[in-house]
This record gives sequence, structure tokens and C-alpha cells, in this order.
Amino acid sequence: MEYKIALAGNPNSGKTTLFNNLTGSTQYVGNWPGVTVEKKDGKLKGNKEVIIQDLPGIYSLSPYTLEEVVSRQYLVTEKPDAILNIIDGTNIERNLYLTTQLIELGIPVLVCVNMIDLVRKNGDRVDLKKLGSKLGCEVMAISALKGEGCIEAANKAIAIAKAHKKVDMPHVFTGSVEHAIAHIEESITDKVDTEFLRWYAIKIFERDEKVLQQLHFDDRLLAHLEEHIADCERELDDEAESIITNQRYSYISKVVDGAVEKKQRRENMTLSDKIDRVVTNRILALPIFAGIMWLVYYISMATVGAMATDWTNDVLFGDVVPPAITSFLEGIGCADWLISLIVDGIVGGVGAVLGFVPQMLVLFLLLAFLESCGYMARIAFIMDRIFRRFGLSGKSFIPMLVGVGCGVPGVMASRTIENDRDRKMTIMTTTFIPCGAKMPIVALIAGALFEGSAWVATSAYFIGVAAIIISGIILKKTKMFAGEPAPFVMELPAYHMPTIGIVLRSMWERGWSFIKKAGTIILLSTILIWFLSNFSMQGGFHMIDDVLEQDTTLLAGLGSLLAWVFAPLGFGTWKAAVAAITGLVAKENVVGTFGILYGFAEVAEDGAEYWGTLAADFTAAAAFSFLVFNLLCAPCFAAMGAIKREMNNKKWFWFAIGYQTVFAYLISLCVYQFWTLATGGGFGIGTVAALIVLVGMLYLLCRPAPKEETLNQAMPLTKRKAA
Amino acid sequence: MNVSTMLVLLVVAAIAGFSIRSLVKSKKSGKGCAGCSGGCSHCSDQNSECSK
Repeated sequence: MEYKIALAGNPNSGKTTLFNNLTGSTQYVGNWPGVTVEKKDGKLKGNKEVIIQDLPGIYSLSPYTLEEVVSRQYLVTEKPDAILNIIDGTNIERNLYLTTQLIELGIPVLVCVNMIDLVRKNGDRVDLKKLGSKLGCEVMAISALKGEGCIEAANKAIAIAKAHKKVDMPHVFTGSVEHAIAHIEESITDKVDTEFLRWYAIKIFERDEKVLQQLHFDDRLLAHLEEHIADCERELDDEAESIITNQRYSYISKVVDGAVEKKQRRENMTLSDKIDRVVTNRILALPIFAGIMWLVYYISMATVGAMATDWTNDVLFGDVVPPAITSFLEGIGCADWLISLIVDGIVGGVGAVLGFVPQMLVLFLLLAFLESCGYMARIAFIMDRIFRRFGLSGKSFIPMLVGVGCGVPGVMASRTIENDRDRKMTIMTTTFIPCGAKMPIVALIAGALFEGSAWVATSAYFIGVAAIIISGIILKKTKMFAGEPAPFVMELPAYHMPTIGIVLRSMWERGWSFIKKAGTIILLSTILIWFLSNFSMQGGFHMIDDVLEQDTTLLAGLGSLLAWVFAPLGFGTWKAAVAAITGLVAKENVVGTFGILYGFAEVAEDGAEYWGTLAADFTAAAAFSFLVFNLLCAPCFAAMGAIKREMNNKKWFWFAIGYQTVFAYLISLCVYQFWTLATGGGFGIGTVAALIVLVGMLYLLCRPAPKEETLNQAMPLTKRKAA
Repeated sequence: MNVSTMLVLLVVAAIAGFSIRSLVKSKKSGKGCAGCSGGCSHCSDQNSECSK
């Protein structure tokens, strides 16, 4: 017989670690229907009849976030056989808020006090029996990280599922509240699943919108229920939701009192608190963040990563692979054009992208370390402080943190933002942050024109951040997006040394995506680009046999149609135009395209530097302008698809793409024109245009914002229905 | 076109075909990000750490 065990708990309580311990490789990862909230389930190791359903990390079963709604929907409709509630043993009181709500569901609950090794190390004591008897359910101790007690917890959960013992609901609330709840239960007995009668009654008492929408009570019943709720509110002189919350915390205090003993500490600050005093300091936070990101890019782009990439580009895809393939194909009598397709096209294009794999792996490794140790969570907190000054919320920065890997999950992560305006704005600006695919462009420009300087990569990252802030300010001052920033509450996880396995796994997942893309989209694109750049219609359709004829090819013809558009930006050549366009398919294509157009494989044979050839076509100003344009313009097709899905509206989708492209164009224009002016270039029409753009932007940034009125008031049940 | 050329061309076509098949399969299985492994756990872990 199959058993379903739901794994529920606060974020950072160790749920994922426990889930991985219990299910191993038999996991399936997808999305809950209709939302981006991740859905993970797996079969218990050693017992395939037991399905472990990992629910999203939540603090309560309120209706305010997607994760909470998805979790409670699952619990009420799927009715798992047991709930394995994992709580952080170092922070029991806060974690028990969810526990009390899970118990109210009436489904058998096993509470697992996780991080028991840390509890012991801190000298604290948890009386599991006492805790269990006060909560009315089984409690046991585990350490998910060390694998202690995990299988025992699963077996215990199966045992309580099999026993299907009716849950002994403790009295959480005071007399008048329990009285009101009892009346509500009486009134709705025949209208809801009696298994969840108490849970529904409490939700109705709290005037839970989603529950009320689901239950469709008639006006008479609503008025009757409202009477009971209003009576209780009058008696306790508070709003229903607040009454429930406060009484829950009072109950939890009593539960914890006597069951949990904290060792007296000389200092109240933990190591994490001490580190945070420096890292999230009002003055030091941003310079420290800039310094850390510079170090990350310095290690990955300028030193460790660069050494490995230089070997890959110069030796592997320069001296080894192309000559070996060429000599093999010539040896078997393969046609010259096919050798050119394979060596100049595929190896040239794909090789140029794969050449950056070492740098990407080092970058992903360092980013994974920063994520896993807990520092990245602080960035959202730091950025919230800055964002709020400009009418934005730090919550909008979280998708951007996710977007550092890939823009697609970054865009999808905007679903956590409840405010529709902020969400749309976040979708539009998330891809400004350089993703993994854009990093080879950064590395290429840095290597070709700036001697591999780490500042290029660091500046690319902060240009993205600046673009987000500037866009946020400009958009917030339009009627479409005006309004107060959404409140932002987040938990900062304690710092911890990440396990090597998790960091390497994260590095490998991202790295493998990068390599897989090279073998699919980039491969197909390079074949097409090779074809278009080696065949000409001039004097009849033929394959060119001299690189000097490159300007007569089909690709040059297509590129020339658009090249003039980029002339004010400093890169009005057909090659740059083509590279930028192919970047829409996948950003790495920019590098792949250059690899083919600048004769990557051939250059390596005769000793001339690929980067040197590229550098001859670009000034420093033009190269940086090209970089900025590709960083900020419309993202790749995959990310555009994500934007289209999230916007769910054609007009908004095109507005987003249009905004990004125009914004990128204007910023690149300013970069090129002012850089050229500053380095002794002439003052021309382009400079005037850039000045107009600058003045326009300053106006949009500095003009007063329109006000938005909000009304926030608890509405009675009957009026909520009418609304 | 000699035999070697035809064979090598077949190999290239097969590789291109596998790439297209892989992309189509990814799209159909809902892993929309071309090249993204779809195992968004690392992104999701970070998102869930920060989302509250």
C-alpha cells in the first residue's frame, strides 16, 4: 500500500537536506501546477511504496504567499497519510508557529527537531517527551546534515501513518476564542470535510480570503459566522487574525517553557551576528559587497579561470583539436568545404564558447560558495536598504540574484512578488544582471581589449545593478508603476561552512547547462552562421575561397542591413551587428559568431592572436559600448519566452523587450560618445545625441513621483464577499 | 562527392539532428530554458532562502 508523507517546515530548517537524505536520486523535480513554486517528490530509499512530498519552506499556512497557498492546498486536497514537520532545534519557538497549524489539520504529525548536534554544541537541552506531550504529537531529534536519525524519522512517520491515530488536538486558544471556534465548527459541520473541521473553523475566524472564496457560503451563514467573530473581537478588543496570532505565540511560549532549556550565554551575539555587524553595516556593506564581487571575478576571470581558459583556447582548441581534425579529414579525403564547416564553423564557433568553460566553472564554484554559506541572502537585505530609497523593494532583488546563473529562473522567481506592478517591473529588469551566458562576452572583451582586467567583469555586474536601480526609479515615476514599495521581511540564515558536495553539485549543474547549450543551440547556430558567412550571391551562388571576400557573403549582406543602426554606438560593422543579433538566440553565440567571423581556428594555426584580430576592429570605447549593449538589451529567446509567460500579456511582453532594447541602446550611445569625447575624440552629432539622452534621463530620474492612495482595513465577511 | 565526404556529412547531420531532438525534448518536458538542465534546485534553494 502506498503512503504519502509530506515534509513541511520553515525555510532553512533543513528540509531539503532531509529530503535528499531520504530519497537520494529517486527524486522528481517539477513545478506545482500553474505556479513556479518548485514541487519535489521522491520515493523513500529502501521503501518504494512511500512517497515523500517536499513542500515549499513556509512560516505558516496563511494565504499570503504562493508557497503557503500551494502547501495548504496540497495538505487539504491530497490528504497525506502523515506530516513530517522539521523544525530548527536552535530556533524552536519560531518554528512551532507552523507546527501548531499543521496539528490543527488533523493529519498525524511527527515533529523532528533538526540540528540537534548544534543544540548539543550550544549546551541547550530539549525535552522531547515533554514537548511532545504539550503539542499532542510525537517528537524526535535528528541531524539532517549529519544523517543522524533521518531513516528512523521516516520509519516513525510511516508507523504513525499506518496507525492513523486520530490527532489529539491541544487547546491553543483562550476560552472566548475556543468558544467562537466551536460555534463556527457547529455551523459548518455539513459544509466542509470534517477531517479538517477545526482548521477550517480557525481560518474562517481569521477571515481567510482564500478559504472563504473556496467555500461559497451564503449571506445568511456568513452573517451568522460574522456575529461570533465580531463578539470575540469586541470582548478581546482586537482583530480576529491578530487574536489568533498572539494567542498562538502565547501557547508556544508555554509549550517551550520547561521543554526547552537554553544555556545562559555570556554574549547574546552568535558568530553570524558578529559577522553581520560588519557585512551588513550601513557604511561598509556596499564596499564589502563590491570587494567580494571583484574578488570573485578576479579569481574566475583574471587569474585561476583565465589560466585554464587560455590553455583551452590556445592549446586545446588552438593547437590540438583543429589540426588533429583537419589532418584526419584531409587524410580520409574529405571535401574542403566540409572540412571548413567542421573546423572553421563548428570547432571555431563551439570551441570559442567551450573555451570559456573553465572560467565559468570557477565563477559558478565561487557563486555557489557565496550562496551556500549564507552571504547572498545578506545581499538582498543590503540592496533593500538602497532600493527602498528609490521606491523599490529588496524583494525585487532576489530574482536578480537568481538571474546571475540564468535569466530564465530569475524571471520566473519574480512570482514571489505579490504586488503586480513591482512584479512586472522586476520581470523587465531582472535580465540586466549578467547571467552565465553573458560572461563569455565579458571575458572576451576583457581579454581582447583590457588585458584581462577583472574590473571589466566587476563593472559589468554593477552596470547591471545600476541599470536595475535607474530603471526602477524611472518606471516608479510613471503612473503604470507608481506606488509604495512592498514590505520586505526575510530571514537571514546563519552563516555556515558549505559542504563540498553541495557547492560542487551546484557548480556542476550550472556548468553542465553551459556545456549542453554549446552542444545544442550554439552548435546549430554555428552551422547556420558558417553557411551564411561562407557563401556569396555575388557573381552567382558560390562558396568564397578567400577571407577577403567575407564582405560579399550572405551574412555580410544581412548584417549590413542593420549595421548602420549601431554606428552611433561605435560598432557599426556587419560583424558586430550579426554577433549582437545571434546573441538573441543564446548570448554565448556572440562569442561563437566572433569565433567564426574572425577565423578563430585559422588564426591559431598561423600564430596570430584571435583576440588581437578582434581588437583591431574595435576601439576600447566601442568594445565597452558593445559589451554594455549586449548586457542590457533584450535577453535570449529562452528568457524572452519566460518573460512572455510571466507577463501573460502580449502588450506587456513587447513593452518589456522594447524597453530593454531601447534602454541598452541609449546607455551604449552615452558610453561610447562620452568615452570617445573624454579620450580626445571629436564633438559631433553623436555627442549631442548622447547629451540629450543624458539630460532626458536625469529629468526622468529627478522628477517628482505621482502619489498613490491605499486603504487598508479589515473588512467583515459579508462585505468581503460583496467586494 | 566522395564516400568519405558523404560519411562525414552524415555524421555531422546526425549530430545536428540529435541537437534538434534534444532541444525539442527539453521544450516538451517543460524545461523551457534551452540548455538549462531543468534541475532548478540550486536556484530554487537560493530563492526559498531569500524569498521571505
